[in-house]
Amino acid sequence: MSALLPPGVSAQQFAQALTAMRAVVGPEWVFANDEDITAYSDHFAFEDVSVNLASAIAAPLGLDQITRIIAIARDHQIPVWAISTGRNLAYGGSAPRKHGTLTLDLKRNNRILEVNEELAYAVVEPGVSFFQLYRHLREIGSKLWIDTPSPGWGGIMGNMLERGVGYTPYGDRFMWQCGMQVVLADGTVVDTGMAAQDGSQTGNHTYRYGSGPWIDGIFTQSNFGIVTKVGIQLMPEPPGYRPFLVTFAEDEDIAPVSDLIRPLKMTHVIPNAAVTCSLNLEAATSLDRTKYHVDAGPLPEAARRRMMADLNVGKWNFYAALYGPEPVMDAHWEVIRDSFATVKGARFFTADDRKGDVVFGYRTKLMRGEPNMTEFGILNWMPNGAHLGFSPVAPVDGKTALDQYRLAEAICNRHGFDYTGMFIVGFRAMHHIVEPIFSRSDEDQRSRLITMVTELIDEAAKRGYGEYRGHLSFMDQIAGTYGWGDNALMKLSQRIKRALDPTGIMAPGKSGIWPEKASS
Amino acid sequence: MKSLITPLALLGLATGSLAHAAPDGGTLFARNCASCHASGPGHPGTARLIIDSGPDVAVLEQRSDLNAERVTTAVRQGFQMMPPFRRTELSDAEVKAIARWLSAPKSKR
Repeated sequence: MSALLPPGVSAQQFAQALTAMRAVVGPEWVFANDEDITAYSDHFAFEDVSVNLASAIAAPLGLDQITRIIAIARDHQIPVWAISTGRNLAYGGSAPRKHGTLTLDLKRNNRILEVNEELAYAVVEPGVSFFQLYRHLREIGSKLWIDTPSPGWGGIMGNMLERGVGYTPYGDRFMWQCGMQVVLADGTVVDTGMAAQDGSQTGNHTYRYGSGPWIDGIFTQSNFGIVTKVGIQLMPEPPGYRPFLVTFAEDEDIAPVSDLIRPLKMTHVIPNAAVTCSLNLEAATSLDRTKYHVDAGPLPEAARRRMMADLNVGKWNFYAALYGPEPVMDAHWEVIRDSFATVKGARFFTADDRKGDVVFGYRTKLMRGEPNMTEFGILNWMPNGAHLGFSPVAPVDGKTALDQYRLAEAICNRHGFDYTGMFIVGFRAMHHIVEPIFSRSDEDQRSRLITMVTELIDEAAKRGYGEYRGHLSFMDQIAGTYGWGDNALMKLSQRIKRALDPTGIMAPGKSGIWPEKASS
Repeated sequence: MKSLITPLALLGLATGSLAHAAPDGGTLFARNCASCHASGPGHPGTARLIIDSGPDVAVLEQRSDLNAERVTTAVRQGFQMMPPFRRTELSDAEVKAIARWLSAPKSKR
């Protein structure tokens, strides 16, 4: 058994709690040996993994077991960190924020509770992955699409609660959340929205607000409760689909390209969460870095130009798609082509032009909601690769996009890393995902990464840029950048925390929200 | 013109858990491993093995040198960029089935 204990809990108390938990879930679903605990650490950790280990893991099945485990944790003052499928790689994996927290693994709860073909939604439990729902829809002959992140093995609910994004017209996934069930620290079970009505059976997943305050949002990126099921609205298969790629030759082109995207997105001429990818993201997926640069440090310009030629891509590569009846797609394509043709050197590609292209192939799948793992291949950029996410938000505005890119590139390069990134475009904002790739076995790289990301967050904040999501190790720092008004926002979160979880057992430290008695 | 929504008689379709009793190793491999380890481009695990060890040993299901213990260790402890698969994701019986399938003599497939 692990020697690690939850903070403030004696060995005897912890042993008693685990005995009680085994009685609830069965002895085979409480894990306390070192191998199992290590399997719940952050596989992409850049700090020593032993600073964020679980003390044990309980894996309840069903609402009754979940609430009973929470009751035991509450009685013994054991903090719990709930995970759904536990991927979240690049943001901390399944590791808890606070060393010694007990992990509540909800993966066994993997039922697809409902698929409504007519009203186009599904209801899923925490353990349902994107692959699972996609396969299920195909197996039952559904014409509904899901929206998926680039690695499809993660959980729908967990990713939605982290406000992750995808690439179809439903790419802002939390926008399509409708109805959730939450377990609070005192054991109360809450069904939100229309489902709060006694006997409500219709409309629970078609109108999410119900009556009164809409509270679902406070259970995202937070530690106010544990979500145990969620409704997600799905996109009906369109009558037509045409993915396309436009490449741009120069680094500075991110400015005019972003400005041109803005009206196309706001008028839905481009309906999907399109993406402008850096050269390095393209290259890392399909090239061997050592063939272009064997020395330490970022790739020189000459090597980047060679990669562009070899891959037949640009410094920036804009992937989007048209959806709908053929005449509508024809009309929209003309508008898009005329817009981007104003950028010198823009080149246009359709699926016919990119047959056999690995990157165009997986982007084609993503923009129609077909999960795959191809982008995970960016980790092949170096042996034993991993990456983390530094993810500031930008308005769809060329000046800001160029400034963020230049800032991130300069800091990454100065610390010896390539800039690898993309701008995922919503209707008015972009998620600028910077994904520095490092070697898990290179201690020097891992150390430099910490300094680099600390600097990225601070320098971004000085310019008014904030992250949409952050790695465990930087949650406090990121929360601190949202400190306007004497930390008014964080103080509000802490008041909610004290009201809903007065003893602070739910995920201490998540998003920088700590219970009063604990600290980072 | 094709309808925007193709109606199916699936309104309110309730479905059970997909985690049934362990199927055979080949099916488990297809569901849990092939997206990274199948043959051909676009599979990160296969691509890594090509870089490290060459194309002859890159496609796991075509190899004849894998033993069950090695497969089990890689699945449970992770291997390089691949994170471990936990007991709630794959049961011991399922890992055993995958390991047996990958390490079986290829003529018996």
